[in-house]
This record gives sequence, structure tokens and C-alpha cells, in this order.
Amino acid sequence: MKIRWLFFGLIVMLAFGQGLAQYAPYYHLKGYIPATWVNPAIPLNNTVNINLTGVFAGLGTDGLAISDLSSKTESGSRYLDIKKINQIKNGNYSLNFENDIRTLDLGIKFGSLAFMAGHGFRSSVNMGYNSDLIKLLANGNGPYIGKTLEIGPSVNVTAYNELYLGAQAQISDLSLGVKAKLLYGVSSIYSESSKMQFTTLDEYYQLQFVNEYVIRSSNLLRYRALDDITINYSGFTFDNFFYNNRGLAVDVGIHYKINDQISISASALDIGKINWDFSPRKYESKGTFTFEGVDIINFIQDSTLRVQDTLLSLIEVTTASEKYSTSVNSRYLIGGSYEMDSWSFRVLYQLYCSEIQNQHQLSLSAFKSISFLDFGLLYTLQRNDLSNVGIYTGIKLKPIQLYVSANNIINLFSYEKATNTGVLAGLTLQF
Amino acid sequence: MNIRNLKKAMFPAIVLLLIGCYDTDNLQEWDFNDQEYDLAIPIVNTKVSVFRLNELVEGKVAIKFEPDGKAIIAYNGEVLRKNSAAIFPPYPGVTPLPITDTIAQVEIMPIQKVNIHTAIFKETKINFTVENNLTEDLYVVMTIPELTKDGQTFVKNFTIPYKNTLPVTYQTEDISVDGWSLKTNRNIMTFHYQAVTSTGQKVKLDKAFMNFDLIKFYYLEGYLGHHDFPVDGNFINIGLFDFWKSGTFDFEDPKITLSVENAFGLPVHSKVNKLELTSITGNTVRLESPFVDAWIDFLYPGLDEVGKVKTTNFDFNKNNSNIRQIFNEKTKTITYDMSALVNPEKDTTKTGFITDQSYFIVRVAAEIPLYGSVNQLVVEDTIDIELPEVDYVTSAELKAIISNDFPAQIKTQVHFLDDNNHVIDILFDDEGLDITAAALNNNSQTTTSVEKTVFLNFDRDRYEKVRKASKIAIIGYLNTTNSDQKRSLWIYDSYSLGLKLGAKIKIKK
Repeated sequence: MKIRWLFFGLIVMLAFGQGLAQYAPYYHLKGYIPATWVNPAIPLNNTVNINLTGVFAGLGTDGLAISDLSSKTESGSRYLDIKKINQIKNGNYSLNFENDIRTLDLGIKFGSLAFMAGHGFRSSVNMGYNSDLIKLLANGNGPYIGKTLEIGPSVNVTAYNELYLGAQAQISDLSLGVKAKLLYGVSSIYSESSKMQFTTLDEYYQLQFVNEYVIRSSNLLRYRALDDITINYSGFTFDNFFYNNRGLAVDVGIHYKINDQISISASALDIGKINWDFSPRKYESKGTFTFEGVDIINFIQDSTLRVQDTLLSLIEVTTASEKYSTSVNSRYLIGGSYEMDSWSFRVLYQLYCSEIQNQHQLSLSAFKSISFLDFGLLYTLQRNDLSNVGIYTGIKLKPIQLYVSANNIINLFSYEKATNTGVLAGLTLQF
Repeated sequence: MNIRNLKKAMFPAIVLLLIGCYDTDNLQEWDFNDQEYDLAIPIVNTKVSVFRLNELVEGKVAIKFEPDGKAIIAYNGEVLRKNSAAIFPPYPGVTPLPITDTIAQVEIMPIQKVNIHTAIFKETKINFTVENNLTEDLYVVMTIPELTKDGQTFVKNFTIPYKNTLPVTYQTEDISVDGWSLKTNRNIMTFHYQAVTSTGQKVKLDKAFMNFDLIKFYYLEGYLGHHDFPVDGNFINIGLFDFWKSGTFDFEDPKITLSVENAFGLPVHSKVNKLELTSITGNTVRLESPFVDAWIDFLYPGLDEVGKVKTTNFDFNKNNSNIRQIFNEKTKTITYDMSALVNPEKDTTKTGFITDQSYFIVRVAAEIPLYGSVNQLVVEDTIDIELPEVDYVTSAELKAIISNDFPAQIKTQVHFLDDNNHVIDILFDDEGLDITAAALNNNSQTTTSVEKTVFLNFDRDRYEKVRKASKIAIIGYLNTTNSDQKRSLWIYDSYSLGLKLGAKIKIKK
């Protein structure tokens, strides 16, 4: 059954999920370039600061783990458990995928001033869905006769290259930082409006869709019919660099050193937008579409008529070429750090704003330096995830520092309970 | 959906998966185990109005509507179609016409059959064959006074050349007489020739003939003969009562109609040899009418109406025949044997015409205005079936909403039968699906539908039982409002039967 495969795909996304970028490891790297990705005001330590390659990747959800949706038979086979699915709390959930690739970042410090520049390829997928959709797919529409279900998924896929110039200034214990970013969009899918209400009517179970669904895309989605959709994602690329899909964004931050042990900081990252003008498409479905069954007379008169064709042509979708803009996913962070001998502690609150949903995350972390090694333990709290514990390892071989971090290690061997997972790694230098 | 290169983006996640997931192989085997899955779907939404029914009828059956929507069923019989070739086929020149003297009158067609007054030739060619026994050239002028075109009389000049051998036989080239008009009396054509030597001496040709392959005409005027065209031997299959089991009908005004389109300028009338109605019980009754014993004259264009088509419609109806009485005895077929007679009186003094475009068409039909009553009619039909095996479906509940605009109570039952015609199951409970007649207004028309909702439950056991059926018997019952009092009601084009059918299906692997 195709429904089963649809559902399976959804589960896979949930299972491999990692929600938001874990900024706590970067925040630990105060004085190095990666910390300026959390807050451009966090002072650089040395005159020359370089970050050579840095990768973050992860998928996740603020929603449901595999174990929330499935059970195992006596023989150990996993199956979709409708009873469990029916117990899902009603509401909206999101799926997130982020992949940041930092190619090169450079920071030069002159006394109390520092200047920064760098390039990164950033991509993200944010999808929103309502519990109605999950329950409908799991139960079929039989239990929902006469009820209206919200089934329109929202989606925001963005991939872009960013070039930035930044500066930070220290005034006593206060530090201010700013980055101005030129953005060059590679590809985008954006659901401007995602209302799709599905009702199985009481009368004789007509299937009715009330749509106000608008999806836009640049260089990624091609829609010809419901059964002819192409998504062509090219991954890391310099497509449109300097030419199309231009945008601007800024990072601003403030950092205050209360004493030698304690400092606090606040930042707003990626405040800006991209204007999509390369092959911009607008796909729109508006109106009420009802499948009322087959007219026998039409069948008698046209033996080539197929129900599948009738269903596929039921929902009208118009296509237009129209430029559009999207805000880039932005973050607002507030953090505090405490240093004690070879120990350091971090607390970092993150508000993540996407076109789909806003999400909150609170990280608590502790790091211990032993000789040239750094070890860290991170605990992250976010919606529907109270057991996300991560680890961090750093190797300091001056002027080089290597760092690797992974989260959700408790669920490393019980994926079915995980809602988030991810990894970051990088190489930074200081002279 | 084609997702290219998505693996690039998914790579980091897959790495994480490989670290943490050691039993993910069974992810691909996920299913619903033995849980039930409920679907509710609309299956049919059809409203079959009488007007729409007309789109479905094929062949010789048609539904016609009067301007106010009243419906008439028409069963068309064979159509007789004749063109001018049937009256006057192209005339072959089997033997040359002899020109026996310098002035010769030749009968070009036998006067016993036709008497042509005017003929305009079409695509016709003639030539002359002559013989000379003089040892010199001869110069010939051939004239046909009756043959003219644009005011000019037909004249042909030719030379018979002497070539040192005798006799000299010479044939002219083909001469087109297309568009030339022949004015004649009693089919006579006059040939007048003058043959002279080089010294001016007139001579008579030893032999002279006019030849032609085929004479065709644009127009012919005169007495064009008596013709008898049969319109016979075929049935009009009514079919209305094919599935009759019991009950009575009373259609007010059934008709057998003759419709004739006539572009021939000739008198035509019908001769009915036989007109019979056979009931479904095999009883055959002759239609009785004064017009069966006599004839029906059809209109035809006069000499001043060349090119016009005259239409004659004639009905055998309840006023001029016994058709109402015999038709309502559940007529199955109508058999007819008629003739269309051209120049029926064989009066050679009557002048008519045909053109090469002339035709006449005779249509025979039965028309049943749907005005009458149907009293406790029961019909039954049996259809072979082979119900498919259905996987995964544990039960189905069908919901049917039936609407009825007709001023008739309708009952339906379906019997599932095995090979020995034993009833295995019945579709509807009790006496079947019973829908009352729609109410009538003061104009004896229905305005609002009667609607009925029924539920049919099939669990797996019942379906498996029904699957053993090799045929179904569909039994229908119809009773128009006040039919016991023979209250006649019209069926209008807007009347319809509606079916909305949905199903709730439980699926389990």
C-alpha cells in the first residue's frame, strides 16, 4: 500500500532527526572563530584567527520519536501502532534538517578592534505538519467522517552561500560585534500558505479539500501534475554565486565580561532575507475540490476514463513565474559562561525562527581541559526532548585546535526513542 | 517523484544513523500488522435524467423532446433512399443510331416507357461514323435541330478523306454535348446532314451512324415511367417490454409514422401491403386503418419548384387506426411491407421532372409519446456475473442515496443465483428497495425528488457466499401514480433517477 510507504518515509525522517544546530560547543570555543558564529562580539584571542573547514549536520523533530508511533510484535518486527498514534497530542510538529559547511573564516585583531571575513554554504529544511495528517495516514479516513482535518504540510527549504565581513570592538569589558552578510541563494522551496483542509463528508463520504496552498520555488521544485513532481537538489554548489537570488543579512552581538570567571552575551544572527529571482515559480491551489465518485454515464460513454485520472485532476494547481522573498532562518541567543580552573561551564538559550515554526532550546554544558585535550558534556532541553545528552572533544595542538561534538548519545543505541541527533566538527587555528 | 542528489544532503544523517542504528533493516518491513484500517470513499454519483438518457441510446432508438420537455421514444425502421438513377439510370449506347438519309428522325428511347420533352445532357459524348464510296474527299455538315445550347443549334463539320482505298470509313472525334439541351417530342432526334464533293456536288452517304457510350442528364422532363420501390421486410424492435413479467401499460398515443422527403417532381404515393404488430407472447395483429386499404399521397415539387424538397409526414395513430389497442398489448415488433409508387397512375400525359440531384427518402418509425400509465409492472432481467476475490477487505458498508423524480413508485430487488438458479442471497432486505413516487403538482408534473437512504452490509462471510453466485436476477417494479384509474401522466426530460453510493471499508492484512 502506498500509504504505508508514505508513512514509512515520515518515520525515517523522524528517526534520523536532529533539530537545531547545537551552538553550545561553538560557545565553548571562546576566543576562537567558531565562537563568533554564536555571537560576533565574543572577542578573538589572537592576532590571526583562522577556521579551516567546519561542518554541522543534523536532522530532528520537535515531535515524535519512532517509539511514539510504533510497537514490536513478539517476533521483533516493528509495526505502526495505531493505538499509539491515536494518543499523539493534537497540534503542529516540525521536522528540521540543517547542514552548514564553513569553508574558510578569518579574523584579524588589532588591539581592541578585530575584523572578520568568511564564506559558508548553508542549507536547511524545515517542515511543519499537523497531528491530523499522521492520524489520517495511520487510521485511514474512516474514523474522521464529518470531521475536518488539517493536512497541509508546510515546508521551507533554503540553500545559499554566504560571504561576510565583520568587526568587533572591545570597550573595557564590553565587546560589540557585527557581521554583514551577502547571500546568494542556490535553491528554495517555500510554502507561503499551507492551508489544506480535508473532510470526509457525512452524506456518502465525498472527499473534500479546501485549499489555500501556495508554494514557491527557485531552482528546486518542478510541478507538472500531482504524479509528476521533480525535486532537483544539487547539494554544495556555487550556483548563482554573485548573479542571482541575492540577499542580505546581519549578525549583531554584545558580550560583557563581568569578572574573570563570568561573562554573559546576547546575539541576533542571520537577520535578513533573500530575493529569489532565478527561475522563480509559484504553484497555487485555491478553492474547494470535492471527489464525489464516478458518474456512471461518463464511464459508459468513455471506456478510457480512469478513477485515478479523475482523482489526480481533482485538485487544480496553477503555475506562474513570479519573484519572491524569504527570510533566512534567524537565531536569538543569550548565553553565560563560568570559568573555574580547568573547568568551564556554559548555559545557552536559543530562539530559532523559521518560516515554519519558532523553537526554543536551552543548553547546559560543562567542559574539562586535561593537558591538550578538552572534554565536554552537553545537555539540551527542547520541546519533546528531555534526554538529549551530547559529548564534545577538542584537541589543542597549538596553533591548531580540532573539535568534534555529537549529541543525543543516550539514544545512540535506541534510535527509536531519539528525536534529535547531529554532529559537528572543525579545525581552527590561531597565531 | 524523482529526488536527485538528495543523498548528498542526507549523507551526514545517514552517517549518524549507521552509528546508532543497528536494527534498522526491519524498518522497511513496517506495516500495520493485524490492525484494521478504515477507508470511507465515494464510489458513484450519477443522476440519470430522461434528457441525459438520450445520450446513451444507440442505433435505431432515439428519445425526442417537445419544446416543453415532454419525452417521446422513437424506434426507427429501415430508411428507403433513392436518387435519380433509380428513376432514370444512365442510358447505355448499345447500338449506334442509324442516320438513313440526309434528313432522318431517330427514336432515341422507346416511347412505351418514357416520353421525354426536355433533356439536358451531362458528361455525354457522341461521335459519327460514316462511309463513302467515292474516290475523293467529302465535306460534311451534320446538324441536329432539337439540340441547342445558348441559342445555338448543334452543327458539326468534318471531312471524309479519300486514301486510295474504298470504301472509305471515317469516325469523327468524340464531341461533348455536356450542357446541351434536347427539346423533343416522343423521344425523336432529327439528324440533317449535307455531304458535298470538292466540286460542290451533293451526295448521300452510303452509311451514317451516331454513337454514344452513355447518356446522362442534368435534367429530364416528361413522363418518366412507373416505378415501384419496396419498403419492406424489416422489423422495428420495440424492446420496451422485453423484460416484462406482469402488469399493464397504457400509452395514450403510440404512432407509426411515415416521413417522406421528395425532391423528384413526380407523383409518389404509398401502398401498404402489410403492417403488423407482434406482442411479446407472439400474437400478431394487423394494423387496421383506411390508409392501409387506400394509399397516402406524398407531396412533390412542381415544374416551377425544381430543386425544392417536399416533406410529407403521416401517422397511423389512435384516430385513424387501431394502433393504441394493439400496441398496448406489449408490442415487441412491428413488421411492415410497403411500396413507394412513382407515377402510380401510369398516366403518360402527366409531365414531371428529375434532376441529377433529385432524391426521395422514406422513413418508417414507431413513436411512443411517454404519456400514459403503468400499472404494477414487474420486469426481470438476469445477468451473468463473476465477483472478484477481494484481498484484505474484512467488511464493507455501502451507503446508497437514491432519488426519484418520476411520478412512479419504484421497487428493486437483486437475487444472487447459483448455477442451478437457486437464490443464494438477496441484496436488499424484505421486499427490496422501495422508493415512493414523487408528488405531482396541479399541472400533473413532479417538482421535488423523493430520496431514500439505504445501508448494505457485507462482511467477509457474506461476500464469500455471494461470490458463489454465477448470475444475478434484477427485479423491478413500477407503478405510476393513480395507474389503477388509468391516469395518464407525461414523462418529462428533467425527470431523473439519482444514485449516490459511498462505502466504508475495513482493511486488514
